[in-house]
Amino acid sequence: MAEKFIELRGVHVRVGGKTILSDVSFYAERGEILAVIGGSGAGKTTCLRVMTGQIRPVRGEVQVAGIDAVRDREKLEHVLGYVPQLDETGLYYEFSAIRNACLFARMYGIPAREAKRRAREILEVLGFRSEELMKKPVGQLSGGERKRVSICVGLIHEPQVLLLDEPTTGLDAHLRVDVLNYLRNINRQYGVTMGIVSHDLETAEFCDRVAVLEKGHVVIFGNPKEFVRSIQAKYAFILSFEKLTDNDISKIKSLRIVTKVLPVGRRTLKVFIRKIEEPLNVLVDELEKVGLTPLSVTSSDITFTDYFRLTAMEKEEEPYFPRSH
Amino acid sequence: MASINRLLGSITRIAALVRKELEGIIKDRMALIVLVLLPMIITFSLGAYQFRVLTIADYAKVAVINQDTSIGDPNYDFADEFFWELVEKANDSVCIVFPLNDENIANFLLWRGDIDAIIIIPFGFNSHLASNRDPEAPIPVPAYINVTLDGTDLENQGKVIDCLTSAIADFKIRFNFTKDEVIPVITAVMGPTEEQGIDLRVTVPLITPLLLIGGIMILTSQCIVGDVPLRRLLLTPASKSEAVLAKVLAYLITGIIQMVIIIGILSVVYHYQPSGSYVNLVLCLLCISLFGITLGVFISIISNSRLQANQYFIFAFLTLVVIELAVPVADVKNASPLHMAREAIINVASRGLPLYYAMPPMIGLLIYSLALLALSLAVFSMKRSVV
Repeated sequence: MAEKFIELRGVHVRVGGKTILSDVSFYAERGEILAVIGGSGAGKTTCLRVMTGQIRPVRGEVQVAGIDAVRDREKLEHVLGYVPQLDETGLYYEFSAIRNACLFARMYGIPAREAKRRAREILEVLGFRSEELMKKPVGQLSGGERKRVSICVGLIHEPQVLLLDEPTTGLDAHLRVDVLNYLRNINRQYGVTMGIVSHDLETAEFCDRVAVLEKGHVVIFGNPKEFVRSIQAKYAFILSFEKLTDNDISKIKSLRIVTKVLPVGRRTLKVFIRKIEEPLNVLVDELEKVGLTPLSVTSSDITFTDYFRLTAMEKEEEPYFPRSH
Repeated sequence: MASINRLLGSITRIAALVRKELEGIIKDRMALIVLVLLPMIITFSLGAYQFRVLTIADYAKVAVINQDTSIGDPNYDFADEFFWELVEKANDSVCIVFPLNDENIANFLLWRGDIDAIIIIPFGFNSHLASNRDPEAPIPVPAYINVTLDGTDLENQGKVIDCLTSAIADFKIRFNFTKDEVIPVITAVMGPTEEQGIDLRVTVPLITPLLLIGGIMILTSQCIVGDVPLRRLLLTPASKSEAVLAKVLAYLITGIIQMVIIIGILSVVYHYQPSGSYVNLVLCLLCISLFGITLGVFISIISNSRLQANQYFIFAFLTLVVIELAVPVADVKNASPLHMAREAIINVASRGLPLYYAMPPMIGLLIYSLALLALSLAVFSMKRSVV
């Protein structure tokens, strides 16, 4: 059985008389990437602070790389790397990427020359191709570059676990994907276990395990691929219609090849299809049979975001569209 | 009607904003302290003279050496009478007058700052005054009094001069001297020399600590609260105490640079030269700098924002200045770090005292600095910092 490398068991946190986390449990095994996802006030940053030993839970156990984060916080410093949400809270903007990394490395007693070597190596993995970029003051770098410097600083002491607070917040869509890909590379290259806190469901696609928090409770926890499998679909298509009513959606839902239907716009649906031969042709035929002709049909991936939205929609048991439709 | 509505809307908004500001001030303890405590300190300081209880520290100490053995009026010993006249006037002028025999000891005490003036009644005082009592005498034969003042202390100089002039006036009235029969010859020692032009020996001991303390405090008061990535650094094995000590040491180096600039300008531009050694002056300035640094670091630790740190800085600096310049109570003044700094510079730069004698105010500053450092470490260790 693989070793649980990040583990929260029955964690309960109260701040100022208010319960922030209630019976929170999740884990990640060695070398995995764990995403802790939730909206504002869900308690994800508190989870991170609990994992870094900055906040003591009133109840529950927290283990990070085999260290009790509640009792042995000081031991955590050596096994844990941390990337804060805001780069300005973790980087000296007047220093270069190399200088920042070396400064933090010195805190761990890493000799200057070794620190520089490691910094260059990590920065190269993170896409810093030129020496000039590495020596530029961090304040003059772009948001995506700064985020990568922050990740480099978190990794400089070769931690076993890297925790990241909203690493993609404030970045453009393509930069978000870039950063997550870089994290994947780091995970593969160094075998470092990662915990990513994010409000962005997209993050889960890059992770081996996901915990979704809502108002201090874990509502979903597991492998995102398994959640995706639970949709019981092999294909997904985005259909656009000129006009779409609740009745039309019910007709689509009743088709035998369709497992789930998810509205993605006013006149657009994402339809999940079970494993069949020539799914696109079959889908169009089936739609025509019930009197529906889509304006466009586009093939799409089945993602954890789809699973999450489907689950949320089913839980709320609300009609697909507000009554005005 | 529309314009009235607009006006009412504007008033409502202003009222809401005023309320918001007041709520902000009430919730901000520092703002309340500045609002209430600062005027209290200044007002009490200015009014304290009327209600003060004088202690020995407030009095100017005057040693009187009677060297006169000349023969004068058979009925009176004028030198003795003049001494008692000084004793009588002393209390009103906030002076203590006492006899001393040895001029060398008196000079030593004046140099060390233990006394503030020496009054020597020289040989011939009696005989000269006796000759003036002859109504046929055409012109008065002046009887001189040699007065040596501590030139580093303007406040006590004033007290001694006041005591001296009142004593001379009353003495002359009592013995019916109507002309310039008694003339004081006043010399201020350890004060500014003529070639220095301006009163550097008086101003340097005040301006230098103000510059050093104020200059370094304004930087250090931002050093923790303004160092946002420090919280991230504290997630590494670096401890809070290491961070604070590193700041203090770094700013001590900055303080040395400030020191070199100040001494350099004074020496090169104003040809200022300390009476004592430069080594002693540098040690003294280091103590002053250390106090400014530790006070600034403490301010930075207790502040929750840069703005708050600025408010604390202004509050602390003004308090130091007000105590030094406006509080007439010597015991309060003597406990003030700025006064200690001033005294320390007077001791090493104006009096040229060896380090052994100059130490007490420097030790006082070191005690303040260590206390502030300990307090800073304690507060910082208790302060919750999360990234």
